[in-house]
Amino acid sequence: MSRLALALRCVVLLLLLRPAAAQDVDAFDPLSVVPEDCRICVDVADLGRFLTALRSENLWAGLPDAATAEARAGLERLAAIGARRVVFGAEAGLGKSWVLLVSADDAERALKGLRELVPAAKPLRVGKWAGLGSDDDAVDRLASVAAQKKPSVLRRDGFAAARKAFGGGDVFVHVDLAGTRWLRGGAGKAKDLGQALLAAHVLGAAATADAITARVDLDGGLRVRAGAPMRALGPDRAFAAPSSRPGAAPPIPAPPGTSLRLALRRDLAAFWARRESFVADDARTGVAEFQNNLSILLGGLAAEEVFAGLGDRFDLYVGPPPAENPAPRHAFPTAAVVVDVPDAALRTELLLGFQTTLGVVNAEAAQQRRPRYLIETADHRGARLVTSRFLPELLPDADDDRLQLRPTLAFAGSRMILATHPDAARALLDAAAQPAAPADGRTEDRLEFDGAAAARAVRSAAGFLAAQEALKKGGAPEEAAATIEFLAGLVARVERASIAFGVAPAEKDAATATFELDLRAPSVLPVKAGAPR
Amino acid sequence: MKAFRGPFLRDEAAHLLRRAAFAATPAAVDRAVADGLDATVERLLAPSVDAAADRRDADLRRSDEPHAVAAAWLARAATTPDPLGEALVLFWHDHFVSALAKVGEPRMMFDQFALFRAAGRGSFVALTQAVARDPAMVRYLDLERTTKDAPNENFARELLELFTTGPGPYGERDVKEAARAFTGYGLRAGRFRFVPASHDDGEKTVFGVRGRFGGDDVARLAAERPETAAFLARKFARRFVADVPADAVVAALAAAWTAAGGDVARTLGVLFRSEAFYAPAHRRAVVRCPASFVVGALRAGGVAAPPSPADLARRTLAMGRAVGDPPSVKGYPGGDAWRHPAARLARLDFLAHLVEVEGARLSPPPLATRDELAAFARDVSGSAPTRAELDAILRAVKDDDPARDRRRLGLLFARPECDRC
Repeated sequence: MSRLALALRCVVLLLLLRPAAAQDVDAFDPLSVVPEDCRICVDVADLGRFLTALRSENLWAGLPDAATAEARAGLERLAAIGARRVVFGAEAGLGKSWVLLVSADDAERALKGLRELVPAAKPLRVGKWAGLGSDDDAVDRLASVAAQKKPSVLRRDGFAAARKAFGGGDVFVHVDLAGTRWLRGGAGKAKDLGQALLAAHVLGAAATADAITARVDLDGGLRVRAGAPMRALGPDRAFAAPSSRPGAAPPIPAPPGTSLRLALRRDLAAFWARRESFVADDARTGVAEFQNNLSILLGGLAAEEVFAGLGDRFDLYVGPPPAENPAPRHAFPTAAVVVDVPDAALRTELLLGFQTTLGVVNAEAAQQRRPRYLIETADHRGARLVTSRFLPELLPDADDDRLQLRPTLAFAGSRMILATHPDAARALLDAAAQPAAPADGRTEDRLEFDGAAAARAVRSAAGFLAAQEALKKGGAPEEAAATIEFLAGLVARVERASIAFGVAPAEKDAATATFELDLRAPSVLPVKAGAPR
Repeated sequence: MKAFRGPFLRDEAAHLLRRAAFAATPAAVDRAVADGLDATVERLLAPSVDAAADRRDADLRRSDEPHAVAAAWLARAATTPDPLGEALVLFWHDHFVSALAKVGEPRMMFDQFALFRAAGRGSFVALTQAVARDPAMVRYLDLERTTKDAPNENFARELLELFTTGPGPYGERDVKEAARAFTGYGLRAGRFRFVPASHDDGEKTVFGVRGRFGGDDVARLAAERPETAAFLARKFARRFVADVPADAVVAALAAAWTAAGGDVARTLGVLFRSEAFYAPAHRRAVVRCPASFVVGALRAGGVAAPPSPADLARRTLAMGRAVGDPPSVKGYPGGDAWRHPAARLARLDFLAHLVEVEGARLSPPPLATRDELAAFARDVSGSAPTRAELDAILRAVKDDDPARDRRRLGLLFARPECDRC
């Protein structure tokens, strides 16, 4: 394009945009000129702040150069030409039609810099904003939008609401997925009991969401919040999006040393009532056996009665190894599941059922000449713990791994604690005795992770992990040990992280899927000597 | 046995190392030739500690992985400074057969291999007595379920038929009487325990000898029988001399066994210094079992740290052998039974994987010239390739190939001649 043609094009654009935004760069909304058919929109509010945050992340510096060099160089060059806010819109991807807008104090300098950055692209000016289009057509379409002859992305269904919900962060991202629906048709139709129970809502969102909007913040870590309007879960999957039952006991706070906590919200009664719709034919026998065994172990209660008596919140805690651990380097984390059982009669049946189950396990072990559990009871904070353990004299090694498995059942009020070791049950009883925190009102599935605690767990089980490593990868034991220590060091650098996924009903046939990632890891990877900061 | 009087040259040294140490690398052959026959045999027979493998086994022993036993042994054998010790572990595992499928706990098989490692080159009487108390064997041959009211004959029958005398010198009554001697044996908490109250303390007659025998007594009676010397001599001859050894060789080895009082190391010392061992007819007269083939290739390739042991175990299984889990108490038939088309393909597949995927772990000697190739092939296989074969290898892997030496090693080891040692 000749200089004259460029000048003319810029003049035309300036005239077109003058009433709307040309006077004040901050009042102008750059997304108002991004064509509606741009399926990908990215808005970096403050490039300088964004880059400062990125540069302080060891993760960014520690990644292999090849993975980030291009993106890093592009962003740095944008900053170098004085870009402050950056908006990008693309039809479907980088290979398609796209537009880029940057605000800068010196728009002319920015425009020059942009042309040098992507010589093949077409320059444009929108008031005080400089920009590029992938080709003449992209520039013309932007001009049409600016002239209000064609709609912008702001006119797209749900865009404004999504922007209101997720705007204001370091980066705003909106991706229109409607064109990919045909690729995702079966994602929510899995006829697999386990998959349905654990991921029905995720599959539902993956199959029906037509857009996803996200906000990214880089203040002391990485925080991503995303939302997607989706079709409401059908009645056979509604168990995955329960509302919190009124009067339910609050969750027990994570005890000290908890490395991982997973909270799942499921209405198991609804799940069980609809099981026919997601149990595959070859799994029906197993489900029938489960139903029968459950009834035997729980005093003749029907499965419907059992599930109806349970709350809808299931919390899994992974804690430190047992305090009295006979197997250094082979100490395994403890774990516990907590579920509210509002039905007092069911609590009694569960207590007895636990003993019955251990009795059955013992009978089978006796037949096979394997060690049996000794069942004991103990009190802690006024609660009764039913515990079990193998007697050391019945195991071949003084540090036998099985000594670490001591199935335990206890109740903290109406909440049942089923743990792999009494230490875990006692820690939860201690935590439950603390003043109750106000209900967080969360109804989504949530995973919380503590890097320091997880690193301790990895190091405690270093012998076991090294054995697995040595078995699979070979090499000297020292190599495996070094790998495990590297892994532990990496995990330790994640101060904490959480991932949440939920589905909230919106209207009759609509819902909103929400996803949240909060990663607090100022130094995920050690900085390599000489790596760019 | 008649002592070997010939010169202990390169071919003899390589032959000894292939049989007793899985592989003969040029450096090892050089050293053996320099040291001479006696010093080399003494070095092979002397046990040595492999601390790294011991540490790895201590962790793997706790594993529930079924292939952990095979994987751990293959990894150890590939790099151990005591290859004859591991060859004997495999030998005794083939002789005193136990199988993980029935034993159930890998830990027990690890412990049994450790027993073979510790006691496998000493007194056969002591080894037999220890095996009878070994938890894996106790479980495998049902000594867990033997009482004076209902003696289980399984172990006693195999003790006589497969572990000591072999068929012939005993009858059904001997089996029943021997079974009474092992009553009271059993396991508690996975460890051997003897319960006197369950033991039949009465008089028994075994091999015509009468006494109030216990298990150790019967093990000794069986292990010291002259038929046992012949039976074990044939087994040792099949492993170290020829797949089908001549009766005269077996008889001579049996005499050596008897003279050594059933001491394994002393017997092997005689064998490795014997004329029969180095006889031309016995060169390359033993088909390598899959485990020996895998370990031989790794050691010939100069591997310093083993590649994925789990993968080695799977590949050895594909060749037809499950270390730690043989199909029956009789073990594997051995010899030409290892050489079937599917096993051959599995051996080639293993070599291709070793050279192309795990090649970085190998450090073969330089194989640049036809002479170097020929000398290396002669050491590792006992058979010099023809000029046409050498030229074909040189053409297939160019001189400037960055992986030249290991690829040429792979092609050399892929020759059918390397199925034998």
